[in-house]
Amino acid sequence: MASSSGNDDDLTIPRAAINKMIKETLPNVRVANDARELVVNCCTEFIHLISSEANEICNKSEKKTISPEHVINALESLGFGSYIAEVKDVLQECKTVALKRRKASSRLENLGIPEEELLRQQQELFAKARQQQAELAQQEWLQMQQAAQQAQLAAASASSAQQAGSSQDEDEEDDM
Amino acid sequence: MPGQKRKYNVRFPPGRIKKIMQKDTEVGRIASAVPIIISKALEMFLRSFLTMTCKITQSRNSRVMSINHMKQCIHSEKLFDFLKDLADQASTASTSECKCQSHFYSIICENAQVPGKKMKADTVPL
Repeated sequence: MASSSGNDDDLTIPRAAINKMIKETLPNVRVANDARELVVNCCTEFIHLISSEANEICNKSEKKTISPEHVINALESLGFGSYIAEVKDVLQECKTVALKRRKASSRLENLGIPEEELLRQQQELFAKARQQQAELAQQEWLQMQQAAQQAQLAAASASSAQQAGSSQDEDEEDDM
Repeated sequence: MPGQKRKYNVRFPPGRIKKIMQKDTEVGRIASAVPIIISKALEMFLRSFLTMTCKITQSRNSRVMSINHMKQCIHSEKLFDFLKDLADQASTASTSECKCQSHFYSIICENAQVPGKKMKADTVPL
């Protein structure tokens, strides 16, 4: 979302998502507005809690990137071990989706035609194009030449017609 | 982001979660699956928190879940210790049934801001 309003510092889970969660968890309960606001802030606190613990666990391992394993261990050490089973299910879904995406992109790349063949076809097309260009250029050159010749002939006949009028005197002089 | 439907079946936006995580300058790189599983954990946490608070709401014969009920829930459960500061910062709702109680509670909270002073709020019935 390209929105100029809203600083980075007001980073919270969207209120609409919280309202939906409340509605689905407590279908017939009315919840005060300031209580909803507290829930939004509790989310941020929870995220920081897990992140911080996972980060510490990550630092102790030789890894530089916080991994799902680090998060799972964090949940355990913070007392949220009962969440781990369902969290692992979601993790499995992630891996499956990622795998499908990788397979799909490699299938698209091949499309049944091996790369060398595609390359060969490309070279062929280039050669053909070059040839066509060359032929076109030659044609144009010939046309230009012909046009030039015709122009020369036309100019020559015009001037010789002029010369015909005074050519006698000139010829006699030349002979001498 | 244009035209992105839910890629994974999680309720809260992983992009937003990642940004919140990275507000902490100690946090460095994050694997892409991480915000997604945190979304799930968050969902489970909220379900637990809301359900527990609802029990308090019902025990008080109240029609509306208020911020006071949530505060009580936070203070009654060790698992929610990390929310204690947040609860104390949040303003106490004044209801017609317990105006004097919430006044009493806010005095306790003022005292609690003195460093080193133990908060008695845990033992004060709301």
